[in-house]
Amino acid sequence: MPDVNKIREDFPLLKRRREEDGKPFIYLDNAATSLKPIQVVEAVTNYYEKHCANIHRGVHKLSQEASQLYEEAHDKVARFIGAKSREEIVFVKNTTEAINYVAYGLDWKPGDEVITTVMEHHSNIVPWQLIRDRFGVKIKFLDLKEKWYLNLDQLEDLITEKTKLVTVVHVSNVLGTINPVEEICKIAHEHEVPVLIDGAQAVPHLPVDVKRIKCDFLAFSAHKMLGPTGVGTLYIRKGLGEDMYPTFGGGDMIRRVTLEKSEWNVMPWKFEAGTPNIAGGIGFGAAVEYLGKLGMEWVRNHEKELTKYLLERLHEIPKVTVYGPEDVEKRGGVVAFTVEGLDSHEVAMYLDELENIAIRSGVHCAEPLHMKLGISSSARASVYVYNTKEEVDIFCSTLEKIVRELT
Amino acid sequence: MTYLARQIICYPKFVNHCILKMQLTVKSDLNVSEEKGFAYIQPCAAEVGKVMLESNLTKLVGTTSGKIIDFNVLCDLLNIYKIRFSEAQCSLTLGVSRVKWRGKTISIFKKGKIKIRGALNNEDAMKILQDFLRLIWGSIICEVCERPAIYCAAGMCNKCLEENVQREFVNLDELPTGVMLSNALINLSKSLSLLNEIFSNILNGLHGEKISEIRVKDFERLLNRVDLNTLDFMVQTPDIKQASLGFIPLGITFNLKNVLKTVNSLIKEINQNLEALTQSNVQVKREISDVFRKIVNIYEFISQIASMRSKVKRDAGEFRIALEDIRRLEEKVKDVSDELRKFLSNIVKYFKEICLTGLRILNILGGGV
Repeated sequence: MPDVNKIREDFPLLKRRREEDGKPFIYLDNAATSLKPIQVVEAVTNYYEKHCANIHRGVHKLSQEASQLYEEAHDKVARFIGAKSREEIVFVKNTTEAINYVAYGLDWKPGDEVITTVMEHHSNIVPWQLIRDRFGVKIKFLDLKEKWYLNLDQLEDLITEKTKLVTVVHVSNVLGTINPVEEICKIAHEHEVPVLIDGAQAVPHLPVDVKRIKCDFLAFSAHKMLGPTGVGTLYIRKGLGEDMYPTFGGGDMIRRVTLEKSEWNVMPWKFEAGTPNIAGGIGFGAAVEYLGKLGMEWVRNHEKELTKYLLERLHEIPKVTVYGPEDVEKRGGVVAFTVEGLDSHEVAMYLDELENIAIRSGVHCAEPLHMKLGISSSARASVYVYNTKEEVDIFCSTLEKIVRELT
Repeated sequence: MTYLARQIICYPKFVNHCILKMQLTVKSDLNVSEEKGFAYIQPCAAEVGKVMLESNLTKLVGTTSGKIIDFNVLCDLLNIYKIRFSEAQCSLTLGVSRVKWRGKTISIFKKGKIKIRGALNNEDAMKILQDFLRLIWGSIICEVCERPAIYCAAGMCNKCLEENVQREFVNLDELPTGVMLSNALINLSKSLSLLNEIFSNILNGLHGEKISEIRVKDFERLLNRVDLNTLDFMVQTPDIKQASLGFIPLGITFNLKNVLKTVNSLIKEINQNLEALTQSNVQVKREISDVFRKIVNIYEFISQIASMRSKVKRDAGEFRIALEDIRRLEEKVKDVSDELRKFLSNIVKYFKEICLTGLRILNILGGGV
């Protein structure tokens, strides 16, 4: 069983103290990005220090080493999500880019339909608006029911013969709701509609197995799961990638080029045009390796325990409204809340100034959902592998003081 | 000399490097830099078209000592001005104050960080910062005496108020916002008259009459009104030097609020000991009354000075005589019976406090003349 105190030792930032008063950082903004363990930092620097070369281009030793490390990182990620092989793992910049790859990779015709939900991050709304405006595609939205859950009853009704894609968030970055993606895939597949899952808040926190979910696409970012920024994954189920447009053309994504035409490289390189983020990719490999050692079951249980405690403590504070399911079995470690009489940015600012606590404030790139909830913004605390009950205590007692003294 | 009733006032003189002489000004050249005390101006998150400003008071003032704000004084000042804010909270426990003023939210932290949200543009952010600094000026720690500026203005730090210097007179009619300060001075004059009335009641109390506290409450209200008028003047006066004139009434009311606290304790002490006082030695009673009568007289003189009806030097002399009498009384208290000793020692302590505060007020009104 991993020991949180031992885990914390791996994170250099947790050793940092605030200059003016020596307070440690209490990092509860994990849904925005996670901290990085020394193992990931070292994997990145190790590439730059010892194996720095471009990949897939040189016959020299360094290039071969770099290529091997980068390809192995694909393998590690593939194993982490239960993919068949590296062929299904395209390294991209982030979740947003991964979704855009799908948006621009499918063959749209005017009148085609895409179904998404009102619970989405902007990254799973805006690309479809762009596609709508460019190709005349219609966007349909799955609504909420019982406050925090998707109304799956609607899905069957929304799907028509023109539906080209269902795209849905696995874990809401505002409500924390864990959506029944297996069921969604099942329903969509019965109508032969492929499904794209936004796994940005799921893959870092839950055991995610694409074979079990049976999704067609899965998008997620490394930086939210202990990895470097600037790298993420688009999982493309074997067989689908070959029929998609590569979106970006250039070096490495081709097998042969003449002045008239080009032939695409095999998967996943078909979608990795130009020199990729090699160091980032290698760091990503180290991150999933780190999480794999902890065990995703442990990660999930640790977060459930912390989230349960966080919810209990927040409910004790007057003037605080929490959004999202109460049952930690149905939610992740993202907890959005509002404070009567204080703007969410003020809440975040006071926590930061007083106790060096980092949380997110605003609409968390989910403005439509906030409108749906009838709030202009919210504050959001989110936990991860290195967070402790003591940190939750400091967070809640500071918040309680802020509410008592400043509202 | 400052003549409250005739609206002639002179600039308070403070020693070099006193926070009140530093003329706290925010340069509105919008040259934002961290060295000058502005961390940044950037768009407000979630408030489209608005900007937020973060400023560091320590750097703005250029102070080198650790503490920059006295939060007790800050909360008092903001509390006085509460009526002008749409929301106001000041927490001594957290060392955070939050006010909503003219559509902006201003947060100030005990380490001197000021954050303004919801400004329309850079100029608007700078303007509200400048005005807010005028409001809280009295709570900023002075490097000379290491006490909040209001203590310098009140002559309580014994280091910052310059004596024996040539005074620079101002006719309030000539100031664009003079009428606000005028109102403050008129109310200050009224409050001094009211204090004299309260002192007369205390004098009767010393003869065995129960003292009513109603006028004390009125006195407190009047002092708060003086402060509100003054802060209005300080915020709205364009010229910072002219705005600093507000420290005269602020300094006086700060002292009078100390008198108010002492008067409250004195009234409580007398009302609780009326019986013992009635049965006490006639000679002791007479001596207490005589000393207090002198104090009453000199506060009357202060009131007259404020109305330009008397001379400062004569009053200072009266204070010295009164203080001598109090010292004599202190000696005599040692000889009285046990049951009266504690009561009388307290009374003498309060007399002394009122007397010394009066001297400070006198100094503010006309020191050096």
